[in-house]
Amino acid sequence: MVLMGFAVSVFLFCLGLFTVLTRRSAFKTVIGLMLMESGVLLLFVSWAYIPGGGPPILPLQGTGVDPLPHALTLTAIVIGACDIALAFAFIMKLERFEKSVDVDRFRRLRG
Amino acid sequence: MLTASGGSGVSAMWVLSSILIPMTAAFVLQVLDYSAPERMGRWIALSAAAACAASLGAAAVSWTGMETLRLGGWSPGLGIVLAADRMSAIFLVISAVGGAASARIALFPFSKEQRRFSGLFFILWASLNGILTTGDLFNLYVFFEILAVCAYVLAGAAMTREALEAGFKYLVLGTVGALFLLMGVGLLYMGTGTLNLALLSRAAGAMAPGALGAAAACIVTGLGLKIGMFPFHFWLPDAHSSASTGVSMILSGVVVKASFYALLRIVFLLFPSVPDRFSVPDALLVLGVLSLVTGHLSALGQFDVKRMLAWSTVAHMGYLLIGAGCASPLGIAGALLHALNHGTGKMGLFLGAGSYASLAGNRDWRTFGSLGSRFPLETAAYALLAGSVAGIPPLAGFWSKWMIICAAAEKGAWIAALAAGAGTVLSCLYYVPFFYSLYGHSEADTDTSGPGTPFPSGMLLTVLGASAVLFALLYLVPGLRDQFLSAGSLIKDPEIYRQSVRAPIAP
Repeated sequence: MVLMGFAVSVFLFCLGLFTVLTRRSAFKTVIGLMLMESGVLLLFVSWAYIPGGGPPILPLQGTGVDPLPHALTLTAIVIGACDIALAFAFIMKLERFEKSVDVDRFRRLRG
Repeated sequence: MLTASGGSGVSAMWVLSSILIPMTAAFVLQVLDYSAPERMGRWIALSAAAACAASLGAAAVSWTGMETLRLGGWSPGLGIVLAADRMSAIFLVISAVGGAASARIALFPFSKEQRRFSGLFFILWASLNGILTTGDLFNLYVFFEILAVCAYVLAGAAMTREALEAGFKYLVLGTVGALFLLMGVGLLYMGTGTLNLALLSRAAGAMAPGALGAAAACIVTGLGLKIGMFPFHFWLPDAHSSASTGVSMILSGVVVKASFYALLRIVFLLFPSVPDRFSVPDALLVLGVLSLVTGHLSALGQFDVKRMLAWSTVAHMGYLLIGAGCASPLGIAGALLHALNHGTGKMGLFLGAGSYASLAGNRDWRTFGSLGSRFPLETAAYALLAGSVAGIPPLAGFWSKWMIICAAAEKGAWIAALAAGAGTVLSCLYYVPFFYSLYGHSEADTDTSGPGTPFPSGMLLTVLGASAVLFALLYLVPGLRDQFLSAGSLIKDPEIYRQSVRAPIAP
C-alpha cells in the first residue's frame, strides 16, 4: 500500500516535471506544477496512513494516523493555491503584451 | 507560554522579535495606510528601523552562544523551535543591513505605487529572518514559500514586459525548487519520523543510504534552484536585473544568501562529508566551480549593467559553494565572510547601477558617458565596491576570497582554487571596460539629466563603499578572524546544535 502510494507519487512528480520542462503553453506549465505538487502531497498522505487509523483529533478514538504530514500537507495545499493564483496573474498580464500564452514567446530575456 | 534555554528568556526573545516585528509591521502598515495615508512615509521608516534593530539584536544575542526558543513550551519533537547560533548571527547582520538599505531605496521617496509593496517587503524581511532562525524543516519550507511568493511579486512589480516575464520565470522555477525541497523533506520524515533539525541530524545516520541519498539530491536540487546554482542558474539574471533597484538589492544581496544559509545548515547537520567517499559537500564543490565559471563568462558579454551584476551574483554563489564544499572550518568561515562582503558589495553595486541608469536614461553602460567625471566621489565609492566584489587586495572581498582559496588548496582541490583565483581576473575583464566607459571614453553620451542633478542616493552608496574597505578588518584583525573561524568549526560539529536544542527547559 505504502509502496504503491510511493510509486504513484514519484510518477506524478516526474510527469509534472516533464510537463513543466517541455510544454509550450503557459497554462500547461502551471498544470505541470500542480501535478508535481500533488505527487509530493500524495507521498506525505500515503505515508501517514496507518491501517485502521482514524482522524488524529483529540479525544482520540482508537489509533490515529500520523498528524504531522497532514498538517504539512494542509499548509502546502494553501501555499500551492497561492502560487498557482499568482502564476495565473502573471500569465494574464503577459498575455496583454504578447496576445498569446506561448512560453516561447514570453522568453525574450536571454544570455 | 514561551520557554527559552541557552540564555535568559529575554535574550531569546530577540530571536522571536526579528520575525515578529517585520511581520507585524507589514500588516499594521496596511491599516495605517487607510487611517493616516499622509504620514505613511514616517511609519514605514519607523518600521524599517525597528525591524533592522530587531535583526541586529537577534544577531547580537546569538553571536555569543546558541539561543533556542521553544514556542508554547512544547518539547522539540512536537512544537516549534527557533534556534540561532553564530552562523545565523552573521546572516542576520546581512539581513538587517540589506533590509534597511533596500527599504531605503525601494520604499523612498514615498509614492502611491511603492506603498502597495511595502507590506510585501516587510513580509519578505520577516520570512528571511525566519529562515535564519528556524530549527525545523517544516517551518523552513513554510518560510521559504512566504519568502518566494513575496519575491515573485516584487520582481514583477515594475509591471513592464521584462519584469513580468522575469517574475513568471522566477515563479515557475522557484515553485519547482520548493517542491523538490518538500520532496526531500518528505523523504527525511519517512526515514526518521521527525522534522526537527537537531533530532534529524541524530537520526539521519540510521536511514537507508539510498533514501538518504535521494533526500540529499532533492534538497540540494531544491535549494540549488533557489540560490542560482549551476545548472539551475538561468532564472537568476532575469529576476535580479528586471526588478526595480531596491528589490534587486535585497534579492541579490540577501535572499540568495538566506537560501545558502539553509543549504549550509542542512548539509552539515544531515549530510556531513565522509572521508574517502564522494559526499554532498564534494558535490557542492564541483557545482560551485561550474557556477563560478558560468557566471563570470556570461557576465563578460553583458552591456546591460544590472544583468552583468546579476551574472556576477551567480559566480559569487559559486565562491560560497566552493567554501562550503571544502567542509573545513577555514572554508566555511571564508564562505560566511564572503557572504557578508558580497552582500554589502553587490547591494552597493546594484544601487549605483540604478543611479547611473536613471541619470543616463538607460541601462547600457556603454552610454554612461561622462558620469564618472561628473560624480567623482560616488564613482570612487563604486570603484571600491567593484574592486571588493572582484577581489582586489587589500579590499574586503579579497580576504574572504583568499580564505576560500586557501581552504580549497588545503583540501587539495586545485581546480577550485585556480578557478577562484581566475575569477578575479575575469571580473576585472568586465569591470575595467565599465569604468573606462564611465570616464567619458564611451561611444555615445546620452546623459539627459541637467547639470545640477544630484547623484541619486549617493550618501548610501558612499557608506556602502566605505564598508568595502572597513570589512577588510574582519579578516585582518586576528581576534575578529578567529570569531569567524570558530563559527566555521561550530558548523562542522553538529553535536553542539543537537545538545542545545535538546537541553532541558530553563526555569
